[in-house]
Amino acid sequence: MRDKIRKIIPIAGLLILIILFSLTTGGKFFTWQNLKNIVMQASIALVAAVGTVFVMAHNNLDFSLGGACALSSVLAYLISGGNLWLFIILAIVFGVLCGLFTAVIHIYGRVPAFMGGLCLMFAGRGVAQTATASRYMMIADSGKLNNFWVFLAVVAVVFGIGYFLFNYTKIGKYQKLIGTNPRATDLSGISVNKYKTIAFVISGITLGIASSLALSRSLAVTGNTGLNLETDVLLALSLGGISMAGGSATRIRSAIIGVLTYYILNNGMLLWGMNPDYVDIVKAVFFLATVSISIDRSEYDLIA
Amino acid sequence: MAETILKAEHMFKEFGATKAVTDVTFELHKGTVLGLVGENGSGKSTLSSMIAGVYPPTKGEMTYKGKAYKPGSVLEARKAGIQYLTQEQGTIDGMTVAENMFLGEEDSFGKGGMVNMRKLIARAREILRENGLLNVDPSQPIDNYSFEDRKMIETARSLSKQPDILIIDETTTALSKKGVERIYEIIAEQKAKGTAILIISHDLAEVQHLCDEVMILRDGVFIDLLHGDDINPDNMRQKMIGREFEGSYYRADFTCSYENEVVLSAKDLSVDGVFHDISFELHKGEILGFGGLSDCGMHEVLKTVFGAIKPTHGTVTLHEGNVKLHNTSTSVRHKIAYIPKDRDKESLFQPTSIKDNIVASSLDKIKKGIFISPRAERRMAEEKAAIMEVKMQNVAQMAKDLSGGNKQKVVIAKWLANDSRIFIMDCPTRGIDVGVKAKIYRLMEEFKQQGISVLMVSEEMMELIGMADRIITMKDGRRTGEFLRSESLSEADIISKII
Amino acid sequence: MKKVLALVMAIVMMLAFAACTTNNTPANNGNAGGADVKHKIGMIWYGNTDPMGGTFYAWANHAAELLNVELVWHLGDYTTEAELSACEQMISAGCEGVYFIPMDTAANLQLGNACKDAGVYWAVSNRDILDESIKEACYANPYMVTHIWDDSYNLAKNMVKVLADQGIKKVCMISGDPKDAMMVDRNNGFTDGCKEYGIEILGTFQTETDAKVTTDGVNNFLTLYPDMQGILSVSGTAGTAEAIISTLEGSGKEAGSIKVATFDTFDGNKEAFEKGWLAANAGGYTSECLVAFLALVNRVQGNIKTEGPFKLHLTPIVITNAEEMDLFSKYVDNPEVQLYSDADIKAMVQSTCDEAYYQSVLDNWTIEFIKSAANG
Repeated sequence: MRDKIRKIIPIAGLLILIILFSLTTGGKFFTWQNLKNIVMQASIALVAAVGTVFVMAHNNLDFSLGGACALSSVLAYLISGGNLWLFIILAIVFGVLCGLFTAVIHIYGRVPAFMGGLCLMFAGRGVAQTATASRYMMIADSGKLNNFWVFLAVVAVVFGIGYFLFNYTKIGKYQKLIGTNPRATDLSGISVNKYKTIAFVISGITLGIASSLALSRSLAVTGNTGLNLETDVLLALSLGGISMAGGSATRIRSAIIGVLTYYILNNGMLLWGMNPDYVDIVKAVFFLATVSISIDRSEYDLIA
Repeated sequence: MAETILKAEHMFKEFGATKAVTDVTFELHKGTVLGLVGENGSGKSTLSSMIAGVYPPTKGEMTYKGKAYKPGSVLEARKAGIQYLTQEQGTIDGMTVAENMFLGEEDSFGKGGMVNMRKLIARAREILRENGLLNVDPSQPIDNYSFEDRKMIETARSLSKQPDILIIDETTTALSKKGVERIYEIIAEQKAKGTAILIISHDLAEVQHLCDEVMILRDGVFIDLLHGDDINPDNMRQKMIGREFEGSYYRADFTCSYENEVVLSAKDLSVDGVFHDISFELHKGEILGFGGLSDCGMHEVLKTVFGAIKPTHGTVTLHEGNVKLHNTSTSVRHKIAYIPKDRDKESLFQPTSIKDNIVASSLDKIKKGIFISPRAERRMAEEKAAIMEVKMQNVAQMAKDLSGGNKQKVVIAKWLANDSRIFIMDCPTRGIDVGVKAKIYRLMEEFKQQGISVLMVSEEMMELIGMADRIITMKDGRRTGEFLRSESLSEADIISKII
Repeated sequence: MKKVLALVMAIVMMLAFAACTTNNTPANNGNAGGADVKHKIGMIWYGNTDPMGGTFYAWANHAAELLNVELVWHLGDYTTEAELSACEQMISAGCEGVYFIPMDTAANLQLGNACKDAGVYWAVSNRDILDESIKEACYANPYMVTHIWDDSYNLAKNMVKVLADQGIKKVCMISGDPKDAMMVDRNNGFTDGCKEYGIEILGTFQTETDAKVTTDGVNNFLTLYPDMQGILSVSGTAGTAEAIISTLEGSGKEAGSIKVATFDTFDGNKEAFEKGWLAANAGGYTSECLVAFLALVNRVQGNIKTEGPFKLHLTPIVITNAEEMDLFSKYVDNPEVQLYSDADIKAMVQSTCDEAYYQSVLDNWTIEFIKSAANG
């Protein structure tokens, strides 16, 4: 019974927030315009989160998202010479390369993936700030894509494909097995390294797409591109009830629930006109409350 | 009868809807060994857990040394003088031997939170010496020592507390012959000191050898308390299962039978420091057994044949298609199955559904393109679970909630799902009750008939003699002999080649 | 599976319901209201924990209370996406005006367009618009109310004059990134000023906004140019100004034998003046923010009618001695002090205010103004 409550807390939290804000903002929350805003703001993190779920499922954490986003965007800009469609393709390509970089360091260096991730985080940020200081990287065309229907379509397709792969194909199922017990996975005849690498490739693809969405919002690649992306994604996934250790209990719906919760919370507080000094505190409290109720304590068995 | 030290009356334990123990009453006497026997799910571990303070009874009272006894934790029970030895790893990785031995009692080695390491280590050394563990250095990380050594260290720790009650829960299953003998010595010593001993074991011969009294449980209920001559394997088995044990236990025939066709061969297989120059051929429909002491390298041989360990020399070849087996994916693709010795850590995905466990290696069979239908998964899982008669609510249940025997059934079901033609089994009936053991033996006989080959390692001599067509013995990493199945083959013959 | 479907259907139903509700954008209501209606202004600001941030936060809140305006704040973000998201949300919240500092030039375009589409007024300060096409588009945006940037060129020249007046003939320069328009102004101001006032620039290195790099650079200057009499620096943030002073102090040269003129106020500047190392320190941008904000309020309240932005510039204050520095530290960038009185504030939201008026307010931002405001 406790288990069931634990599992529905994230979605319950989300519904409670939606109802709360609908009733208390004098109708401002539930307008078409506002809902469109929420979807657009949440899209970047949501797309990145879908890929991250694959990596987390096999029990790795990816801290590189922000730096990798910056690095991929810069390289994509430089090579594409400002051509929008070329940028998008290259952003995905470089996203995948960043993912492979992390995978290689993890598999051949035999260190937890977040080490390679940290590498990218710092290097990427540094490169972006240096590169963007010497030239203004704007692609004016990208503003065309800053449109609700485009974003909705991208999110729907990415989440849809992600959902399918994660729940109905070997790619997703094996991630969960690896996260639960890598030894047993190997002894079941499954190549652990191959599937881990696939997870990083997927994460790289979604990162490239997210970078493209970000570009259409900001029009330019700046030193701050992708800032805090990894923290936002991890935070949102936690709000969505995902288990840090991955494994069989990982659900890709955590991505959508968590991201929506996070952005709706932000949105609601702003509509209320809440004193900005309290905003962070409220977020922290909400986060603690949700996570402490929904966390699966049996994984942390003996904190007796 | 000797003085009663613990009395447990009308003990009940329920876990949600599961009634693990129902109205059991018994006594433990000083200087007496009581055996607790029953199939998996009979409630024996639950009962001993309650005495050891792991969890409280739902109902029922215990009286210890004349006073009411309600331990709130294992630590409390230990302080009261009750020590509990289990089958699984009871020590913690990453800490030294000494730290492990005094876990929870660091206060007595210093004050204000500071621990006097030197005193700790010195005391640990004393205790190890008293228990004959001269080769163990208490300042070393405990990870450096083998499973068996660690179990011995745990035992030494428990004994140093001068317990009044010693509970031994299937501890001998994972030990080598030497380890088992040491445990028997300890039991004898403690008995002489007046300690009450409660032993839980599946090994009925062992129970007969050690116990003064034997309590039989079935489905959480008390069946009988046996004394003297009534304590014998057949009698115990019958009471445990509740029906006359039909047919024979191991194979009824004594013919060494297999087809001429060789299905798999290993040539000059070596893993430096573990085993050397192992060569053999496995035939179609054969049960080939490997026997030896637990550290002779035979477990690793099996892993290497399966492709889980990379050999430093030598090759393993599957004759159908002349395929070199060098990793687990290849082996599984060619319908080879591997059942590890450490069920919980290596075979199963515990917090995962039975369904996912069973289909894990067979997804290529049921997929359509890249799509894997949940219905197809469920169908396959239900089919195979039915064949193995897994006792469960449904395939969505989590594997970790199953008993040992049922877990093993799930593991076998997994390999049946992949239509495996060669089964590599490492101690397949370890820690499993009689009923399921018999089922597995029948399955192995069916395999023979279907032309499926079995490569097996077992530390139970009787099992090897009872089931194998051929037995290859190993000692210190090398082949020492080969025996063919025959009625006259005895334990002594094999033992002579493995020590 | 069924649960998921039910959930999806529920969400779709809710969205459909929402789509049918009347559009609640501010364009449909509130524009006609005069001073009786409480108008809402969205403030996208970088933070309120440092002196400048905290000061503007205090000034704006005080003014809002005085003028019966409601502020919706969003603190903490630097990226265009985040600023754009905040802007969109403020529009949804019913804001009729949005004020922000465009951390990246593209923010002008993105937020400007979002505001235009919603019929919301907007104002920016503290940054010039670097890209010509973006500048054109923004100035053509009828909802843009104010654009204020710092006039760094003249400021830099003034600082050179301060050194020239003290008889300095030879200096070294710490220059700025030639791709940053604001820095280009400062670079040119320095070099042109030196030419005008007859000062020779012995050597230059480019700042990297890093204290260690600055220390090394200044040490190099000391070694290579023993006859250097002054140092010009385009930037003093992130500890670089402190680095210049401490390196000079540790050089063993007589205090005050080398004079520094630098942008950005910093810790220990008063002592540096007293010891004689510092000759000119430029700072004080908060007034820019306030004017931009008040002009926005003025427009939102309907007191003035504009069809394009006020284009204004601020010349920050050059401080030249310790007393002024003291005054500055006490009264400028101190959240406890409202340098502009209630009367001052009210004067900036009259129907008579025009570009010339606002420019005069900014031109009045001098050390004398601060003295009188502090006393008055």
